[in-house]
Amino acid sequence: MVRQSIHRFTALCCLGILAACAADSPPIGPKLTVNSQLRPATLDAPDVMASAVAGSLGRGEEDLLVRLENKLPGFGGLYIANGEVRIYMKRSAQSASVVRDQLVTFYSTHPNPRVREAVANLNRATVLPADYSLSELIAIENRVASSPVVLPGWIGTGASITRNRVVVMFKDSSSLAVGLQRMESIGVPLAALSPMVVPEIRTSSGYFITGYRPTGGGLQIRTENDTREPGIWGTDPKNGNPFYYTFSSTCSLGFNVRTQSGAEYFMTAGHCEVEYAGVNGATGDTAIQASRQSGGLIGTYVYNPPYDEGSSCPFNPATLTNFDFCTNADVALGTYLSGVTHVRKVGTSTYGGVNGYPGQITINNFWSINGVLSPEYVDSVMHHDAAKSGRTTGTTSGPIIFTVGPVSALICFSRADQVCNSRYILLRNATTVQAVSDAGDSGAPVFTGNPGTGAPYAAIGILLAGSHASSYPCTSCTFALARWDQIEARLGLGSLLPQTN
Amino acid sequence: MPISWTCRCVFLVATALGLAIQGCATSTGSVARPSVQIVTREDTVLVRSPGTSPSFVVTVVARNQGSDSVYLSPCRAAAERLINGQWVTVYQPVCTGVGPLFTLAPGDSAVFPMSVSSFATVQATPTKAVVAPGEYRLIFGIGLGQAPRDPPSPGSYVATASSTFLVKE
Repeated sequence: MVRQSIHRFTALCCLGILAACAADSPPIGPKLTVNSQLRPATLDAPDVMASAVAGSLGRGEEDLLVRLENKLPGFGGLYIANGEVRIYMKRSAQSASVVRDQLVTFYSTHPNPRVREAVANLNRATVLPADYSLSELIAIENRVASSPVVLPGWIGTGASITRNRVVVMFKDSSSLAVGLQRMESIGVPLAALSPMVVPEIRTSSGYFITGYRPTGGGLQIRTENDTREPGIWGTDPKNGNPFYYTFSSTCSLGFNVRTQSGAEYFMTAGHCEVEYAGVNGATGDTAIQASRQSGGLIGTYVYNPPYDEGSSCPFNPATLTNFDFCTNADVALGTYLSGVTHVRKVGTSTYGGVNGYPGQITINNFWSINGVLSPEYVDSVMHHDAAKSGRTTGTTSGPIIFTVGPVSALICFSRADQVCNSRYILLRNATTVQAVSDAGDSGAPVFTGNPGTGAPYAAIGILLAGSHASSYPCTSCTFALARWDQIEARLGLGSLLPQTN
Repeated sequence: MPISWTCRCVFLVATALGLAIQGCATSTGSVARPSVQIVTREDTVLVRSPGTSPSFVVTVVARNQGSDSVYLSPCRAAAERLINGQWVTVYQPVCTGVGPLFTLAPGDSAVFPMSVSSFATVQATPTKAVVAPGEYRLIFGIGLGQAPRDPPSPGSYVATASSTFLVKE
């Protein structure tokens, strides 16, 4: 319950900050047509006023302002810009000097000395013409917030004193268009709105395994392709309903990167597609974050350098034959579909896992990346641990065991709709880290704090393979990663930049 | 060797306590746990390439003795060697993904070879924790139910030890 309250408060603060920050943007004034099935929302303003006078409005400092409006009809609120106090007044019945005098008197007894200090120059305040009083704005806000009709894609609504409008936020322009029509039908004057299209606001409720936009390092991605491997219809044993089962491989998004020429890609492990398609060097399949039901399609794989095979690979002491495959960097790149938002940042768990334990799959936040570091520098100079964030075991960290060397790993060289054909792959020039990972973490970003132990982070590489715990703690668990220098050399696209800016 | 009366009493009391605890657990409706018997077909296996990159292959036989389906994977396993009276992990497979999965219906068995080599983790473990002659057992993480579509959350497995076997040069 407390956490919900905190989230609600955080969301409201974000709303307020967004509205305030956008103060310089001109309000959008859609065509004003009255087609209300409900009475105009502005007619509820007296109710808002009555609540404020009764002390039950519950909007903090705005309660005082609405009570002030009760004494100063037409008052639309005040705000400070560049040290100057600006006052909105709806009517010009009272002269600016009378308005200033009333406000000076009102604020002289304000209980908070910091507020009294902030409005010390009220007697020089600028009075701006307002279209709406504050109680009217709040009444409009209330009408939208308690809309009797569904507003698809609606994110938030708040009265903006600086705009003298009500900010309405929708997740995309098509939702906004529908929302405006529907708001008009419930008595909201469209001219009073300042519409905005913004990414969905998230606090700490995100998970690595659910749809999340903008995408970033650590999120679950799936590889699917209905043409290559059509799904099958089945029946849900729980409720008997038919469902369409699709075949896929599940991995983690590593880094969003751009080349020096400005091309943008998402990066993950190459075997995420190889283990889906059963084809060495497969490309052209679809990446989904996180699933078809949650998030949806994000792009297509375009680079996946094939592994060397058989006689080109070294002798495998475990099988007394050559390794089936070998590579310096098992990496793939994909291009984003137009409109899929993505950031060059890395997510971390709410609580990370150390000493052989997994981390949580709830996302604390996405953090900036400010460079790329070699494992040698991280281990020998910085004496830092390496961390990874993946969809299965979240953020885990531990010491670098060796910075460059061969690692033998098992790979399923088969289509996702077929039984695993287990083969050996030699991951050459890999780095290993003593920390927990598991199936699904493949491709995860491996990083470290730069220069401290927290954010901003520096990229080290992407997770390729690991030992899977039978129980926890698993202090013998390790994972292998492809180093950044090996990734760049393998792809041959020049420098790949994971930096946030 | 004759057993003293004291030992017999201790044994009887311990058995009674064990039965009582088991009975309580049953009566309170304990959470279902996989019941899988894991044995190796060989009692003794020989090390290959002794002295360089020692490794061996052992045949695993896993039988589901419970009433629910279970799943296991050679990728969610470890080889432990008895060192100074303690079981020490000397090998864990490194896998790129889920790896091969065996779903076992009640009463079903799976037979598969498992290669054990210190190659992949030799630099990750304590100096002595390498594949070498000695007494071994295998540990598998067993999941309850059908093998899921997505990788299950960590901690969804119950560690189950195999019978012991010997590795010789």
